[in-house]
Amino acid sequence: MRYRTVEPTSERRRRADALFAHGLLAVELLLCLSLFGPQPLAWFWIGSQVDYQTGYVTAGIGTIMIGCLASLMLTMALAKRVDHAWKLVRRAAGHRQERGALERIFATSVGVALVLFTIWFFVIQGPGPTLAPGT
Amino acid sequence: MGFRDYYRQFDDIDEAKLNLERRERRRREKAAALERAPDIDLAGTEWPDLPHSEIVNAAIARARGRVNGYPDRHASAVRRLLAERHGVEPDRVVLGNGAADLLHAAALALLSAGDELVMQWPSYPLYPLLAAHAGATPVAVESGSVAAAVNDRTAAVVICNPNDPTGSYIGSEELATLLSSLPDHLHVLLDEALVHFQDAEDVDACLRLVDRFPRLLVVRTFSKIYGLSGLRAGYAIGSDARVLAAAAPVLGVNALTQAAVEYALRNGDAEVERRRQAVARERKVLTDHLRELGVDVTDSQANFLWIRVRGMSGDRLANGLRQQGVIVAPGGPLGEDHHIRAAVRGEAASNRLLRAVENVL
Repeated sequence: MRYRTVEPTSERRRRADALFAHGLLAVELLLCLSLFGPQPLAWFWIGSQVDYQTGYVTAGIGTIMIGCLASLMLTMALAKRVDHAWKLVRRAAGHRQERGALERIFATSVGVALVLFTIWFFVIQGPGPTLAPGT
Repeated sequence: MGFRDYYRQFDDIDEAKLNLERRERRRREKAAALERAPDIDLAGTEWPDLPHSEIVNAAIARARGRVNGYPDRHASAVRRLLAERHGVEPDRVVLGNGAADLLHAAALALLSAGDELVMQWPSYPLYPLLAAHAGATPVAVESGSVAAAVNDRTAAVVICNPNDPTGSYIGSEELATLLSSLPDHLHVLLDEALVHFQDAEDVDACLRLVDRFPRLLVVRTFSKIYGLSGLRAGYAIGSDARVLAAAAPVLGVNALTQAAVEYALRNGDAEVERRRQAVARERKVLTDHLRELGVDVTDSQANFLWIRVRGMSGDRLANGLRQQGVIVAPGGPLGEDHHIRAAVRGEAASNRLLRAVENVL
């Protein structure tokens, strides 16, 4: 990928840009993590409300599926824009940043979500009734 | 600079846009290179490209051999090849150091002081010199038949066919009629240096007349379509043993030239044909375009065009073209002041010539 080499700005500006880049990276991470917890939960709640209001389970499930899919795409589009901004800010901070970080962040967030789910599933929620029929 | 503009300057460069910029830069560089293009020389009539490396190798291989000894002064191998090619006996073929030398030697043998050598004019500027060297008088025929200029002092007629510089070609039938009308004692030197460029009839159509006209001597060269000017090689075919013996170089042609010519004859036919077709094709295109510009161009059967712009001398036209970086031969030294001679080369050369002519008009 090619980009223009811009004359270096002040060191202060660069430090500020480096900080700004970290902030954008955190936003990206939060957006990705939101896909694996808050957003599905929110849609589950909305779906339950639809089910309650309409009396149709199918409407509730459909709302959850469509809503999850739509918010996934919206979130990824937003994350992509943030990632692009992060790339530019990194370059402004003086780094030779050729690619964005979205793929790696997404993969990391999947890993984090998987670990959290495993902990919740096996430790917090506890084993299922076939493993521990008494609980 | 705004907040967003500041960061946008670090943005990726669009590859398509980058390629457009590159193409535009390359176009500007090419245009500048064309403006700096070196002069193109269309004044000569020899083949512009280097000979095939194998032809050169043949000469070099011979040079690495026994060059301390004399070459075959009869050039037996080359003469045998030429004889087979033209369907004549080898003893009717002579290999010489270029067509000009053969013509010169033949003229010296045929002409004496007080004789006349008749020639069409304008024609190859060497012919009047041939007469002068023999102490004879050149008789230039500018219009009308060559036969009409023949008298009892005429010892020989020289015909350039296709004619340099006009490019006009006398077909074999017309030539046979002309030869028939000449007195029996008269010798005719037929200079076919450019014959390979004509596409009017078979390349040997006129040469075959040596069987019907014993005093006809046909001279050809390896300097034009074969592109071997620097090796100085030509040959003559005729029926008069005295003239053939007189035309032949005393100690023959050097061994390197013989080797190169022999290789060219054995392997060069396809390339000769390719060159002949390329010249014929480009000659037609160039002639048509020049005529569209209102320029007078004779019907040429050679590898050049004889060009005239009405109301402009050949010198002025040549100088005008010279200023455009195109060098042509002004007609004055070739026998006609109002013309120029421009060689037919490739498409790029034709375009340069056409652009230059357009600018001069």
